[in-house]
Amino acid sequence: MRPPLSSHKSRVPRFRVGIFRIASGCALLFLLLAAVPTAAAGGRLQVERLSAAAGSAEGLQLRVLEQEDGGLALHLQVREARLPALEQSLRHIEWSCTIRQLPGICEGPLRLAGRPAGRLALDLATQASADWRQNGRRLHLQQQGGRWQVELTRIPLRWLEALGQTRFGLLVNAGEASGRVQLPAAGRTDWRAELRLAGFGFDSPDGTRAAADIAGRLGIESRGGQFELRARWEAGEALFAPFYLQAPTEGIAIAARFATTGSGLDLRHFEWDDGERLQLQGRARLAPEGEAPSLRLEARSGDLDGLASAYLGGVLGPAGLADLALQGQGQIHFESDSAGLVQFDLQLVAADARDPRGRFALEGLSGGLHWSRQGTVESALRWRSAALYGIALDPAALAFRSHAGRLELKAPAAIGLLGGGLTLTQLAWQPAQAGTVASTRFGLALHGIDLAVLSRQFGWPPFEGQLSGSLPEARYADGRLVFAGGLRMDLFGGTVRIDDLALERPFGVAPSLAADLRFDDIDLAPLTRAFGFGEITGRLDGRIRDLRLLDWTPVAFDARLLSDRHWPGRRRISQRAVQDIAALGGGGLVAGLQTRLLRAFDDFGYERIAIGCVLRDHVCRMSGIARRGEGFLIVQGRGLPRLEVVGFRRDVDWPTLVQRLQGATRPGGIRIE
Amino acid sequence: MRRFALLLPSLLLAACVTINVYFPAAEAQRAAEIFVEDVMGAPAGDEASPRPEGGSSAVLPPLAPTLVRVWRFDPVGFFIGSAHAQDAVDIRIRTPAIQAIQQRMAERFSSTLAPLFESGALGFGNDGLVVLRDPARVPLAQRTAAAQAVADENRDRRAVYREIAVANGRPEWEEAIRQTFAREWIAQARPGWWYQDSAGAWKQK
Repeated sequence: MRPPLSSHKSRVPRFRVGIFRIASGCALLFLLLAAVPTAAAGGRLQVERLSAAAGSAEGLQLRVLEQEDGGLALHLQVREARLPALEQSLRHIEWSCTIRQLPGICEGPLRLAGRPAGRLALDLATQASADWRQNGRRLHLQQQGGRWQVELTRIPLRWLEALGQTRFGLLVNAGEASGRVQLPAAGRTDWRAELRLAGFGFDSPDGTRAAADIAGRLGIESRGGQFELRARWEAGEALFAPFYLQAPTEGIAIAARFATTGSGLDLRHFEWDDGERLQLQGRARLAPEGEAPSLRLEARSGDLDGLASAYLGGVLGPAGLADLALQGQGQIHFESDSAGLVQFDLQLVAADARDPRGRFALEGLSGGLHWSRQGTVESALRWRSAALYGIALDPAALAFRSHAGRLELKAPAAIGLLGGGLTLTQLAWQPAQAGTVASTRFGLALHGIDLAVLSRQFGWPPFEGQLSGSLPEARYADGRLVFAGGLRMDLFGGTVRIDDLALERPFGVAPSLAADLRFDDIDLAPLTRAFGFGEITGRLDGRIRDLRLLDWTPVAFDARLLSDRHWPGRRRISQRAVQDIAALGGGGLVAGLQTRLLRAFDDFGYERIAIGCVLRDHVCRMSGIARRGEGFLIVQGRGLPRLEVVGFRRDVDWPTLVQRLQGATRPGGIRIE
Repeated sequence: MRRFALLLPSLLLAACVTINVYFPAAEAQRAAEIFVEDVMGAPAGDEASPRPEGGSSAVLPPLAPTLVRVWRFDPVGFFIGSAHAQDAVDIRIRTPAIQAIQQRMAERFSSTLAPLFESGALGFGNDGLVVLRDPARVPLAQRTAAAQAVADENRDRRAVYREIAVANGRPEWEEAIRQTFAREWIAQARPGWWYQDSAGAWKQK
């Protein structure tokens, strides 16, 4: 409100009225004006304080001047008028009017804090009424059946700025209201309002709750300390972080019944009707700041696609799922209290969830997921088809049980994939409760996964074999998924063990995978054939320690692969494989033989082959069986013609190496000259 | 003699403390400086904003005892002196995935974040992340988009800090790296932009 210009100290009064106690605030003015005849004939009335249930006024001064034409000129000054129900306070009200005869209408300009504020007319008849107008705005006050009724035309909602700020912490910054308000009858507190809002806007100081250009109808009725609200939101946008919403063209119907309790709000019932998109109803007890509200709601959507695009953008976006495509129907029952989550029961019917970036897809998701803090509840969820990073999962059903606040898989669930299967051996989830953090853990076992299918899926060289194993416990915390246990791949007659698996940001930015791999007795002949890498017979052992893939590309590892010395079979290496290995070393020297001589033989016997690479920072530091002069021995020959392959470049650029490897594994790739 | 007896364990204890691997603060700062420069683009009126450490981008800060080479982030340039590769600590990010993130951050910065910093809606947090400190300064219709951009940016930043630490084989450096970056974002913030001091209070540069 505007600052007071100066304080009007009352001079010596002719009449001094102490404190009036009147039922209705609006009657104040009329009572005062009723004194007009008394004060007529150049009278002056001074009242220090008038108060009533609806408001109070201080420093009232009424002067009445007799006009030459027999009429009266009234001049009213009020130092301050307060309407606590609206948190409203008006200062330095000045109103001058003239009236020809009594009873009649006294009309004249109104000034607030020294500024023009429209015109006010008071009807001093038996049916008293007041009328204020300014630039097309109008406020009409009249008594009807013992109650005061206010008619509003385009009244700025900024007038309620103080009310919005103290009661709701909101800054009302725009909007107009038209309609009718029925004020309480004498001795009562019931009131009702039927309003039309236009261009309504507000903002909270922290910017988390805001609205702009809100238009719609609003009806409120207050009865016995309880409020009934009925509204239709027709236009505009609103933000209740994280939810942002624009009014649909069809509008949204809102209804609520509430009461204020102390410093909180008891929302006894609320309804939100946005057609197919969202039907919501429930109750809530909003405690004063700092305390968790208790809430109970039922939400139903027959159009998850519409729900996601209209309501969930502010939730899915920050979660990195901005473009998640949802479809189908769903409903949720949700309850929470001051201690946290009480229960939720999600039910889906033929729902689809697809990540356009291809990280996951779920189709035909039906059934429920029910968690309760107390007691035991059961639910089951099934899908028609699913995919994870492009790997298709067969239809499956998961049965859940929630017992004492812990949601878990009732029985191991088998899901077919890649010609084999995955068994979800355990899955348990607990939300954050007082004193505990949310935890998710699960375990899985793989069996009979066809590597040929997997290789095709990821565009790898055609591996053959099977993947199986058990990861009995996985923990997810802080964006990191750590697996206990390990996997075993039966590959080309040997085995590969994968241990210490960990995933970081599995569905987030630059997913990373860490693992340790151990190779044992891999048959080199089919392996080299699969890679199109010439041919080597024998068996391969080795390990890749501290493997780290970032965005599914290796960025670090410590690898050492070597032939099995104790393998009793034939150990031969083809001429082509020698060339390819040499090429990998970046023009490594083939010692002991001239290149031309090399070409004269199809294959060679070998004693050992070993190659190591420590990848750090894009550079592969290579090693072999042993140092050999300046270089390192990669292939140690056996028999005649004896062959030795020695590498000389220890540090090789990793991208170049990968390029060479790809070249070598392609028919007609790199050749040494 | 008794004093010596007491001295020995305390010496041992002190020795234990010094074994801690030294975080290459100067190298990290230089690396962060280049990274941030690449994301934020050439700052307007660079001379007007002195760096808190006192060094300019050309002169190495006095903290650097054994800085042996220039840090590079370019994907093409490969070469390291193999003699130094083993013992010098290395804070570089040349992984394609991280470079992709950096590029995305640069695009997001110029298209979305810079105007929001300019308006005062965003600030640089003291934890190396971006904070939507005053959403009321963003037009209502863009507020959720701004919140999303901030969430995306912070996801990227967390990934970068973590990956630098892990790429150096020192996941425990993540916090130190994050702190280094936090200082660098603030150092390169343009005049008028908001940042959080170490006590968490918001200040305007």
